[in-house]
Amino acid sequence: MPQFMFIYRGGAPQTPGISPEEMQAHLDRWWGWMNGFIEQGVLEPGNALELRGSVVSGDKVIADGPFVESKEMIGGFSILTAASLEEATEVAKGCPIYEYNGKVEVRPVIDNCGDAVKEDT
Amino acid sequence: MTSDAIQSLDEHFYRHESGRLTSLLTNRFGLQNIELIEDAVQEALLRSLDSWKLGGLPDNPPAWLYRVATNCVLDALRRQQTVKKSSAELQQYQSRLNEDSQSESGACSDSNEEESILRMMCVCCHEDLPAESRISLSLRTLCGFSIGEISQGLLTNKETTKKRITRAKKFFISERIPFEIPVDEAFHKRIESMHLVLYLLFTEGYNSSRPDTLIRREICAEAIRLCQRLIDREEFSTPATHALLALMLFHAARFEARLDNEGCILLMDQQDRSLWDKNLIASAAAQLQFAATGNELTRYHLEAGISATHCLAPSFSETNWDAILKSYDLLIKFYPSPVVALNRAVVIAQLEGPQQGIKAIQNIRGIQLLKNYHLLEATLGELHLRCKEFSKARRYFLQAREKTTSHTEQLLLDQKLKKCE
Repeated sequence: MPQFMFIYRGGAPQTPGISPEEMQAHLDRWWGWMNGFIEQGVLEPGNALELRGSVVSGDKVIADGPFVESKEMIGGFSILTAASLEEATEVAKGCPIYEYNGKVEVRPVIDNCGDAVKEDT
Repeated sequence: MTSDAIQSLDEHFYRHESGRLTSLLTNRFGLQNIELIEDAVQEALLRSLDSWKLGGLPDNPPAWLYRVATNCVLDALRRQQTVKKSSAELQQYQSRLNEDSQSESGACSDSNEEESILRMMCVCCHEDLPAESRISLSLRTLCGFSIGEISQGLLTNKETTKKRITRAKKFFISERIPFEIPVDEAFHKRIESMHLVLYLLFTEGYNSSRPDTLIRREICAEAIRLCQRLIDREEFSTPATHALLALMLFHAARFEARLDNEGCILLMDQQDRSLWDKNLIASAAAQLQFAATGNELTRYHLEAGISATHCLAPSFSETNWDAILKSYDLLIKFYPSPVVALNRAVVIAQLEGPQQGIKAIQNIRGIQLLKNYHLLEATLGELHLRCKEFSKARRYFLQAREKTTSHTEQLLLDQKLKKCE
């Protein structure tokens, strides 16, 4: 089965003034969403990314380049197994990140042999 | 991430962590950095959202939060110092940090946490701050309420709440208020103020001034939780503290019965007593026992006594009104207020009939202070209704209806108005 990377951008952590109670409710909904897939074995828990980072372009290192704009901040990623990009996209639509104007980018992962996901070829 | 781990974040985890972290960090970095500390706490809580929802819960979430929040404060201080080009203060913090960095658990330990939270309570309840500021500040720093929630709870706007909190923080800095528990004379004053703040918090939750909800259980729960903190610590665990906790628990025991399925108010004689929480009543009674020592009779003792009499009566008709009246008489004598006098008049009406109740209301000293209090008219309306003086009753109910902002109370008054036809 092809794998897809969910890249989480924006969302609650970039929302100033969110109350502890709202955080708790959001996290509960997030886990409700995520644990369903983990139990089905189609989602691997991912990781959060630190806020700092750097972009390398040729010999120039531009620290914190694309990370300044808070809405474009990448929160983290996880890996999902799905039959097709469409199916993975459907799954991503249920993510609670949209409650706080976040986005999920869905990208097919190229498998070990270097071939692109079949549906895309 | 196991479901057990998730369950360890109980319903109010973030709310309580926010208060705990603010207290611990203020203890460490001082009250003069309170704003920076609050930002750091918010930052740490937000970072945990990303980190935990993807990577799962760390072994010890509170310790994780404490470490991240501490680093955020240090980062902020470093930035400040770079601007000031002087790092004496920072060095001082860092050397202190190095001292206890061997044991992060030490800084986070139960006793240190308890101490920090009590200090924070003491500071928030400083007697030189206006009462509204004390309440707003306590809800914010100790209970993690947002500015919006506090404004809604205290029926004011966000700007006012923000100003109250900002002014209070400026007061701490300009008056160099130490982050510590006061001693001797000052301690006595402070604990009185702490009792009053908890009492007002509970009162706000018990009969919320918000239009849409009558009972704000989360505010009541926070007041009870903070009062329990005082009980747990010997010097704060005075008879008055026990009485205050008893008072709150007795009232909380009746919450389930105060509204019907449609959210309408049920008065004492309509409440289903089987819905009263027996366990809470038992805990309250135990607290009342602990309160019955020493040589001080506070308003909390008297009010808890009244509440206990209601809770322990097998039925409305078997309520010991004589005992309740005695408590009200004592309240009037030692803690006179027109509101107490109004409540006493209701008891008189119960014992001697509605006519006598109306007379008692007419004799209330300082009755003009109640001119904006809708329960004055609501009570007069009810007593006239009992006398079958329908047109008078109607007039009072209409006046009361205009004054209250609570939809629930308006609904009840509408029901009463129907009886006047």
